[in-house]
Amino acid sequence: MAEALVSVSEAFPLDATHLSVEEFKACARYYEAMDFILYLREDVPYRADRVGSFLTLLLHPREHRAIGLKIKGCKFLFKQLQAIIRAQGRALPDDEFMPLMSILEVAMTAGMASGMTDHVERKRLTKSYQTARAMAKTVRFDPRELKQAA
Amino acid sequence: MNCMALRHRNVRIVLARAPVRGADVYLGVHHKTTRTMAASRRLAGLGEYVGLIYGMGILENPVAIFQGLNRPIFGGSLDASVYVYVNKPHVSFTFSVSGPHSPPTQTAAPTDSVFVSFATLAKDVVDDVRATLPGETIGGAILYWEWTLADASVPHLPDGYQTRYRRLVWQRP
Repeated sequence: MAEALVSVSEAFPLDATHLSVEEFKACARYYEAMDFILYLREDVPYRADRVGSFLTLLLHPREHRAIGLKIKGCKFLFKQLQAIIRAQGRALPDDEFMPLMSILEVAMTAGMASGMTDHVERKRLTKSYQTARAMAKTVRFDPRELKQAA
Repeated sequence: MNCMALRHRNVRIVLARAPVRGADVYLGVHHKTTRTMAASRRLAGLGEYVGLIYGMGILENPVAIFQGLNRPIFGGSLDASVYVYVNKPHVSFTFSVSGPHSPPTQTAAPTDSVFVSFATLAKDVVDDVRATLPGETIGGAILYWEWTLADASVPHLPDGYQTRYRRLVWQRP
């Protein structure tokens, strides 16, 4: 089977032009086909650990530690964020990278609301969102694709 | 399973078990997903597609297929149009940083996990993907793929499979 596998440049000739000789760097990107932002620190086959409707933690393939996160339902969350900012008489700038924390906070509010009735579930959500917040603290992302989707 | 016979000449297209009605269907991989992965230099993610989904043809022989993500997608209830193919491969694949012209290499599968691939038959999405595959016929689109934690009691299915999806549409007997 391996002999029949092709290189990344043969498999994705157009996409491969985006590939750089540089090594992987941690970054947050919007995946439009699934409407989520994915932040990943290591280029490994991560294991998704679903926290709830809006957050998934990404675990190392063999160690129990988070190496990234997914914020899901971004079109919905981004609209909520825009409404919050508009209510303060401000607008999102078009040409600036946004802190990932801003959309994570909205996801946390929406996600925690659904788990408020169960004490054990609330504890689990709180711990997971704390892990996500620690990772997202200094991360920024380009909101242009997300703005188009919204 | 004869993988050679199942493999499409176009790497972006794979044969998959249809989520409904049992027949097979050709799925095209979403161009925006592979582009974003390439732009992020996610060689493990691209390797998983070429090695597992295309090379091993795992979508034709899934363990189970679920429908619906139980979360907002594009602000509405479009999540019901997403099908989740579950597989339990024993290996994974990745490309090498230094070798964009080399095939992916086999790596160990992550522990305690299953491999899930998200696909849709929604016409607008399929039309969008088909436009990037001139002359090809596809009936669906692959939106994304990843390893996910396995359920502790049923290790060939995703953790919390009973509630994380809307419904089970097919399971291998």
